[in-house]
Amino acid sequence: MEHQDESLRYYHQKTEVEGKQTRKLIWRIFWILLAVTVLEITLGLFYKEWRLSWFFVKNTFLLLTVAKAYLIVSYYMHLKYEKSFLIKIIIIPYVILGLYLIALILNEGNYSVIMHQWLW
Amino acid sequence: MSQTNLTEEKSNWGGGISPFKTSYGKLMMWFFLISDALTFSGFLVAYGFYRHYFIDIWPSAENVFTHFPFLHGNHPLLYVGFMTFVLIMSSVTMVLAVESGQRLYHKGVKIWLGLTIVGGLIFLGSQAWEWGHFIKGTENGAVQLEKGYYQLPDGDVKSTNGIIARWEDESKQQLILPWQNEAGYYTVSGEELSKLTQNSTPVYGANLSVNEYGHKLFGNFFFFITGFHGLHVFSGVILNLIVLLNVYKGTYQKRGHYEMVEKVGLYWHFVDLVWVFIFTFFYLI
Repeated sequence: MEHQDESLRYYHQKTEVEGKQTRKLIWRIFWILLAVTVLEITLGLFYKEWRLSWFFVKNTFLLLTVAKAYLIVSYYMHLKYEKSFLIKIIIIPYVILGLYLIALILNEGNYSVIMHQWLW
Repeated sequence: MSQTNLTEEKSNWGGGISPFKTSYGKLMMWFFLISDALTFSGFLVAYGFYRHYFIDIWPSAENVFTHFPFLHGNHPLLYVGFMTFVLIMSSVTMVLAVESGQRLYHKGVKIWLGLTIVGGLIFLGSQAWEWGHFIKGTENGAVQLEKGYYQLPDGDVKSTNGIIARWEDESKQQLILPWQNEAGYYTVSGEELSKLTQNSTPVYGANLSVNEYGHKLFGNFFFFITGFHGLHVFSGVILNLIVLLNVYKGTYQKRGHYEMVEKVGLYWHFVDLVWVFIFTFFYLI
């Protein structure tokens, strides 16, 4: 046949053994994601009773969110096993965006306070 | 210049082969997701800016979303925790459908993809329920104050223009102001209360112009960001349905691979990923 399905070229059928390993990994990631979510909710409900500072709790939430995003993207979206060039193309824009936003917050964040005084 | 280097380069980037060892469709799905994620980042950054800007009158999500079906009383975070669980679960069923497809296991794809659609529908229903409660609001409602100034006991003078204040209880004898010191929120009652509220309007629930829980921008961002995410879930369910129909027709079995399931899988995981961020920025922080 002249015409060939392009996707077929990059497809390799997985064996039963490989499938079993993948499923084991999928469920392991699920339990980690669930545990992290339960931890976040517990922290959100009880941090006042436990007398934790809001600064600490807030940053813990941010760290756990990034951890969850890492797990979903690398294992469920399978990005960890792609070519490293593709990984870089996808991840680098967000690293740059993140650095840019941090720079904005640190450098310009106080302008909103000044604006508040103008608009008063 | 060595000749081998040149040929090696040609084999990867000379055309006729994907340098990423990925098919065109999957690559384009990734590129779409990159731009879509930047859209969501823009929304969340705008939300963060306005929240910071109106920080002293911004409502806290744990005081807004406190209901749980069939349960009375105050249950902050519980319902959104349930929604998060549903979405993570449907992510697992999706990735299991992808895994079944990679082994050309026809029946597994049907079961897991079907369960993913069910999860997506439960999530959409939950979101509708939560929106309904937010729009309807509480029984006591709140008061929107008129233009003017109010001097707090500590001497600070605040503008009351459009400020939302909530009632302490059903008797409506005491109003909680949105400003606080270490001891808690300031309250007004008695003569001072009637002076403050003589031109005010009662507010029930939230919509795009008023919000009984606090600043109206909170409502606007809530409707816009969770609505845009809900639209993604909805279109994801539609895409999954189309793919499931094709699985039933045997289209992919004939084609020899289930790459379409992988592509909608990428989209579905992205929707879950966005929810992880919305959950943090809207409900936790």
